Amino acid sequence: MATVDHQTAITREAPPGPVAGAGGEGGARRAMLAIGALLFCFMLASLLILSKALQNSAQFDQLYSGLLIFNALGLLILVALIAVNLHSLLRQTRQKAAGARLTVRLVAMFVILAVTPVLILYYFSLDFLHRGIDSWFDLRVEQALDDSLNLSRLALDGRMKEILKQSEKIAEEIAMTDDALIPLEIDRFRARSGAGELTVMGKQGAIIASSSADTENFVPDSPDETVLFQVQQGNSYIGLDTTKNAGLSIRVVVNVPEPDLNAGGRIIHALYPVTQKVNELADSVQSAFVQYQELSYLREQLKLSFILILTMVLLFSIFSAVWAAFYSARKLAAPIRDLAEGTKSVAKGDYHTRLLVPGNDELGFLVASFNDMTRKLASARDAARQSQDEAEAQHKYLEAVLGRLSSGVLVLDSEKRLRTANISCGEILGVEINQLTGLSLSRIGQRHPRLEKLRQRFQAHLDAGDTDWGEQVALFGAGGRQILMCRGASLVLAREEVSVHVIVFDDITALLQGQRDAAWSEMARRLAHEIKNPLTPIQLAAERLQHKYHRASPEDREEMLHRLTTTIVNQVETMKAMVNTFSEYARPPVMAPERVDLNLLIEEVAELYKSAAPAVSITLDLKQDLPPITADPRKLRQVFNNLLNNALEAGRRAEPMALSIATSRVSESAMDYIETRIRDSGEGISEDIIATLFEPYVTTRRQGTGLGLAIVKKTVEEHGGQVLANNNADGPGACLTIRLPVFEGRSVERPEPAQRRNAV
Amino acid sequence: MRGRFLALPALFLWLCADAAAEGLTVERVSGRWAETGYLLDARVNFELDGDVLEALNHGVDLNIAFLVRVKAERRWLWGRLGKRDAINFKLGRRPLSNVYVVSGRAGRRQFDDLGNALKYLGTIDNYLLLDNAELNNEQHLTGLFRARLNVDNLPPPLRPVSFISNKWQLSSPWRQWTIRRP
Repeated sequence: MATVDHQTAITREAPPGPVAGAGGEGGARRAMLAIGALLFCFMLASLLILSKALQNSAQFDQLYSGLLIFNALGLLILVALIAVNLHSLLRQTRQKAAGARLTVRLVAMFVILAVTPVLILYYFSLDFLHRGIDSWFDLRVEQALDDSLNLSRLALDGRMKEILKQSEKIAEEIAMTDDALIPLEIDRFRARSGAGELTVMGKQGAIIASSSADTENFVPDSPDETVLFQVQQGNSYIGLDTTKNAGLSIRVVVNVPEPDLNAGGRIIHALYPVTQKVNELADSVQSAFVQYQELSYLREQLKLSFILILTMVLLFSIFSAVWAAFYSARKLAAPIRDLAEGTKSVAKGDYHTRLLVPGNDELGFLVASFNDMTRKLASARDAARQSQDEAEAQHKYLEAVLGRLSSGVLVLDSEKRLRTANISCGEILGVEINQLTGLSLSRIGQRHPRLEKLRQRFQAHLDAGDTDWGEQVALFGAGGRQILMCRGASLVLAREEVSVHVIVFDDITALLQGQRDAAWSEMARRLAHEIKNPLTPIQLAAERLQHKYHRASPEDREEMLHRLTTTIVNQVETMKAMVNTFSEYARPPVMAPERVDLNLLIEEVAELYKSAAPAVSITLDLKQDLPPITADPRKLRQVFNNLLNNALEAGRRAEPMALSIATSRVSESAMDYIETRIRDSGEGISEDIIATLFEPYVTTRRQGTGLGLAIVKKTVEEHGGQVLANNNADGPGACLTIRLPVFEGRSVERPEPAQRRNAV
Repeated sequence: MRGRFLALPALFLWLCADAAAEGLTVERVSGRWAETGYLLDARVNFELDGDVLEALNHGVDLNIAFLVRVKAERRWLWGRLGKRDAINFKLGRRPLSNVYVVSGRAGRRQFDDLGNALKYLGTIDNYLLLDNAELNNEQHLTGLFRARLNVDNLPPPLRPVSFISNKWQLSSPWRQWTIRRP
């Protein structure tokens, strides 16, 4: 039904479910259509009955008023329906609802097509109505009817005059008759006069005698008061009257002439029936005259009534047509409106829109094609989305794998720009890798000079067109030497039809260092074992030799013997000390960890050196409230002894000698460290040895074993820390930095590989 | 828009108020208890003029109805309708005999003069309104009487006009009297 608000027959299909129907909406529409059709039929029947009633049909006469009201109410309902439809349509037009403008056009077209002929018909019908009704009335007809009525009257008047004379003769005879004889004579008087009924009565109306031709009627008719009054005044009365049984009759009332003035006076009342033929003719003339007179009088009202009914029919036709126009327009526009809505949905990306197929016509084919199209689009979109999801999942998977790889992985595009790189890449190279994405290799080299050598090697392999290569590259910087094991390969991306270069590299510095440390330890252990054993016999032999031949040797040889044996013993002692040091370096770590206040430990060590070397200015800058660390204090004390020894030895040639020790708390990679910086004012560390400073047998001192810093490094690493060495940037001298982890609430653990990797 | 809708009921009320114009007057109404029951007497004055008289003289029969109600009065509630009755007459003119004919419960009477016909029409004597058995349990009875021209029996072309024209709305107001038990 058209009064129902715009409800599209669009459904959303749950993929891959079936097309849903619009049963509820269709049911309401059918119900409204049935109601509208019922109203239409009722109104049509009502108008037909109304028309019959206007033609004075006895069957419908009593229904006229009710039908008039019913039709008026029906028209009002139609107007209300149309108003609701119009309002709804205007609202949809203002809201620019899909199909609203098309519906407006269709409604306008239907209304014009329907109303124009009806209005033309109405105009001519009115004209014909006026002409037709006016043609009913003609002056000549009216005159003829008047004349026939007068003729009837004249005919009856002549008869009435005769009857009056006859009645007056009878009255004269009755006057000569005594009251007592009248009942005996009255039948004769009636029969002689030809009256149907004859009554003799007193002037006050009292009946003296009566005679009637109707033997079944015993009650005589009597004149009314006005007639009696007229007769009492001395006048006779004659007139046409309609009696109960005889139809039209001539009533005569005359006075009986009384010779005796003292008598009370009598009257006779006679009814003369007219013949059946005259009766019928008179009734016909009167009926025709009355009907014509009534019609003539009701001419304008009749026109008005016909116009009223015609107008009702017109309005009924127009309103029904308009209502039907709304309904038809909506029904026609519904599939197009649904298509527009469906197209909007598809444009918004909703490919599961399904439309209700309106029928088997061309619109139905169009809607079915639309449904087919959206179904295919939905399938294609779903497949694409699935592929995309899979690709994203693979990408995330790869990203997660790469993110957790300890190896650095970077991808260069065909123009040698950094396309992607994982987190480890930045950590290994010590750069913010995200900021380098999209930059070319040369630009990266310019921005980070430390990576220039790496860039050169990458560039060389890429320029050479190596599709699978591997190379070990050493980088040098403030943190020392870093050795990277790089492997590269070219990949051709089929989807993008471009080739990229994937480079994977590992920081093997710690690995190499570890291997070297292990080799040194093994060598030191074997050296200590192999050398320490013969040293004691050598020393004992030298001491025995000195003791045995000290007295026996000549004077000049004694001095030489003593000097030689002393040299052997001292050198053996020195070699023992060296072997012990090697043993210390090679022994497996045995820790006795406890909670250590590092500041306190440093103060104790520094205090020893302040006493031993008063010429050296030792400055302490220890951060207060540092947390205790878990460490072996004996080993730590040895570490600081070695470091301070080294610093004092390095600054021996500097005047004045200054040494500063500072502690602080630092955080790196979610770990807290206590950092100790020991700065001297010496000559600094030569660039030649800075990379291998902590390796065994690397020393600049003639008497040094080269194991002091190696032991320092080994001990610090056993504590999970790291040690760095670099030259002061703001002056002469070097700075050794030790970082020891703060294991709050935990015992000492083996350091993580990443931490070890960063240690040089 | 709403004002226009309100104008329609207002027009209808105005027409109804206008339709109450009096053309019939109940001059007297009374009753009495007799052996047969309660007898009604009434006198109604008719003032026919204008369109109604013209229609009558052009052969349109007029139907006059006397409506009678009897209510049983109640103490705390409005009266209960005990009986309703209608006394119908038809007044017409016969051009051949040039008389006015009144048809009703007492049969058919004709009059040479319209005044006599209306006088006869307006005279109700000894109309048995209640027999002795009717409403005999009710002590307090009220009678209501009115006269009106019944436009529903007019010829169909006249009815639409008679619905909306006060010239055809001949009606007297309700006249009330008390019916006392003997």
